[in-house]
Amino acid sequence: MHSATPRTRTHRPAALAAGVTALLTTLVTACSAGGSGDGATAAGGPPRDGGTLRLAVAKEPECLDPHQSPTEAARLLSRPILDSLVHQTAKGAFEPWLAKSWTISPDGRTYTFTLRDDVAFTDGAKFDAAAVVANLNHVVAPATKSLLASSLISAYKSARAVDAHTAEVTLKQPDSGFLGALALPNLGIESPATLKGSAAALCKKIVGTGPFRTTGGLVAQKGIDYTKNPAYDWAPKSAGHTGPAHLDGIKVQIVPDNASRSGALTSGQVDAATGLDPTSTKTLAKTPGFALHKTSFPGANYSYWPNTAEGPLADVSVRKALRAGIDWSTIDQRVNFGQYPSAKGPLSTTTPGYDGSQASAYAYDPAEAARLLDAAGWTGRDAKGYRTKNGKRLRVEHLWSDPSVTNLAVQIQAAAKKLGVEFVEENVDGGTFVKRLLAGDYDIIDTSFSSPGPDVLRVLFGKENIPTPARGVSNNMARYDNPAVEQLFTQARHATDQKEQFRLYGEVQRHITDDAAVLPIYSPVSTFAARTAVQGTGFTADGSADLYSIWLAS
Amino acid sequence: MTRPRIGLWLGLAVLAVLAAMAAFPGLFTGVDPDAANVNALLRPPGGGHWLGTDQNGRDLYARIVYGARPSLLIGAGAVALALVGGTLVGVAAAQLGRVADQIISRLLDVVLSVPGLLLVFLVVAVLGPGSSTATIGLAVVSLPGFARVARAEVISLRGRAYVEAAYGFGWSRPQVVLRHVLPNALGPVLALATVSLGAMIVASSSLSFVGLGPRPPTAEWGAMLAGSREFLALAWWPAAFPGAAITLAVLAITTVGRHLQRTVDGSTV
Repeated sequence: MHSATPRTRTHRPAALAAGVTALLTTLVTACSAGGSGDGATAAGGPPRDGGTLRLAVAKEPECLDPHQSPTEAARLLSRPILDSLVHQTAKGAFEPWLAKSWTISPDGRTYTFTLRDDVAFTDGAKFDAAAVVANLNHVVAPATKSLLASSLISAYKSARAVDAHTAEVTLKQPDSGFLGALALPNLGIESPATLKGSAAALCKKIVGTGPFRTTGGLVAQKGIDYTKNPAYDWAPKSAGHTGPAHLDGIKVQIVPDNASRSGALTSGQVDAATGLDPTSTKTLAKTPGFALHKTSFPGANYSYWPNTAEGPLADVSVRKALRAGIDWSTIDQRVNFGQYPSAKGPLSTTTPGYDGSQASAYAYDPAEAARLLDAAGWTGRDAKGYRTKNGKRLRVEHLWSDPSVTNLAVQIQAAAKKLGVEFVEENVDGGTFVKRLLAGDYDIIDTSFSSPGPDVLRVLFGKENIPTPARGVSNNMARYDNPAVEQLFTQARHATDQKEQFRLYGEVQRHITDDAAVLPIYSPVSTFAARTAVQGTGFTADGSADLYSIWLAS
Repeated sequence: MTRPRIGLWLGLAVLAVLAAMAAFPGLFTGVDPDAANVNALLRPPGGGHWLGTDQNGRDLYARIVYGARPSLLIGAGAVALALVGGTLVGVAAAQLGRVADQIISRLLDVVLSVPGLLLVFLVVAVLGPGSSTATIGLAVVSLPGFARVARAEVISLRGRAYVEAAYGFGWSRPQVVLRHVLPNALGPVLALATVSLGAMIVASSSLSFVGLGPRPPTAEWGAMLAGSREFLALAWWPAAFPGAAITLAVLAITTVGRHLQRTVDGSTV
């Protein structure tokens, strides 16, 4: 019934973290919207065909098949190979891609897609309605063990080929997010012949109708090589150009270390790099000969998610005190060298449906914080200066398993100490993390969650998405349960008008702000840095680098 | 003759300062090494911070001072453990007969055949990261070296006239080993200890560098290097000073160790 909750991501810590980020990113709308940042250079002359782009990426997907993998890396690396039925533009609009057109029944449960009849997979097979049916069924088949894609289309019931080029999809209930899900690489169309192979084989190599193909597939700890699909002639309209890709090929290298990745770029070992940390982006923006392109991920900000169900943060006054008493924005600006915009609500400001009317509630106000803590009964002080109530110290356990947040956590801990709150940093291994997440044994967890629209609020604050041992890992880490908000969610899901949907989600954002159900910190930024000869850069709707339109001036 | 003397005295002076820092860090600085300051990230050396601040705005001088103890103690502890354990094992191999010698020696060969740092990783992976496990891991790796030297020394002393004489006086084997063999075998083992101390400190810093040493926020030189690496393009000081501290400590220890070794070698010839 519910929405986009990757429930099964329990088995591996990496998968969890990845899944969380993935989800975020996935739902994404943001797309190309952000466009290029500082370094974008005006294209000098018409695009030039030829050449191979050498690209360094931070993470390798544990599986290349985006039907299975929830990771951002799988989306980035599968997109060049896979097209989708529909394409989502930066502004959130949908346009034809493999589907020429579509109709939605008045009850919102039947989608009829008219497909292009001139498309072929790179293995020679024709693209047709049977391929669409095979793909949707592959995504939801239990054997696929989809960690994200299946939950993105949780409303899916069945599909059938009406004729060779007409596919009809039936939903269990109306879902305004269905087209958005179809537009993501996770619902990319793969060659039906390959879908019959093993899940493990698909993790190495996928075949699609996209502008590139891979012969060697994904090689663990090395990367993946693409060659262009010379027959490609069905790019979506907003892609900016038609026909085959300009590049002859792309060589992707996995370089996990931040400094090594930007070093590989500046030393000329690669032409471009993605996923750069603030130090690298700050340095690269000033390095002649290189351009930095960036866009904010739409969706939920990188935030501290308080456990609203249990422990000291079950008290809304304490949550509000933390929100007002820690200078989140200064900490973000300093620690991230001004590279990430500070958050002003549960959603990043670039998310369609973001409600800016509550921004002032997120201002720094230490006096108000002290007043709130006093009123909540935390009036005592112990020998170390921490506030106490009935002799018990105000102690908050921050549970995490990603070393990259350390520097931020150090500053937040120091700021909380000034407020009289002890932050205990519990850096645990992935297995322990998942166990405690499911048990609700934490006071704070940190994560971000990119997504193309306000629907993500349901994923993050819907009662049915509270992680439990029975349910598995899901994303309401605040364990937020508000009947008024639940009702708004139901209304929003059935809303057919986007304006009405946004109004309802605006209402949800006000409730979340009133309840201080999240402590937002910054909006994550998707980065693509390249030598200036790399032209035609951009971002897809989910915030990934768009590799189709790139060309090399030299 | 005067040049090595200067080196020796300099080395001893550095060691004395480091030992004092490790023992009484409060005498060298009144600053809290773990106090983060969001308004003073990556401040260059000078002003209120002699050596600047790190990526968390913590005072680098205070962290280097407080880092001396964990940084040096792991290496020293590992050497001490390996020295005691290795000597016992070596003496046992030399004294308990051919079968025992064969078994012990082959076991030592097995340990020595595995690359040292890899073996330490294994030990730390099994026992969990931390100061004590890092110490144990490093001790396990270096124990065979000590055992071999001890065994060789004991075997070479076995036929010496004064040892034979002791048996002649009707002394028991434990008595002979304790009173005559061990004291004479110990010289080269101790020399090895001083020489390997430097290597052990580098190894323990390496462990901390990859996150297998003391847990953050403990100030430790290797961990400080690792933490600063990401910011190298913006600030050289958070990497340079802990790096210099490690280098200086190892140089001083090696200089003093070499001198001791020469003295021991000279006396045994």
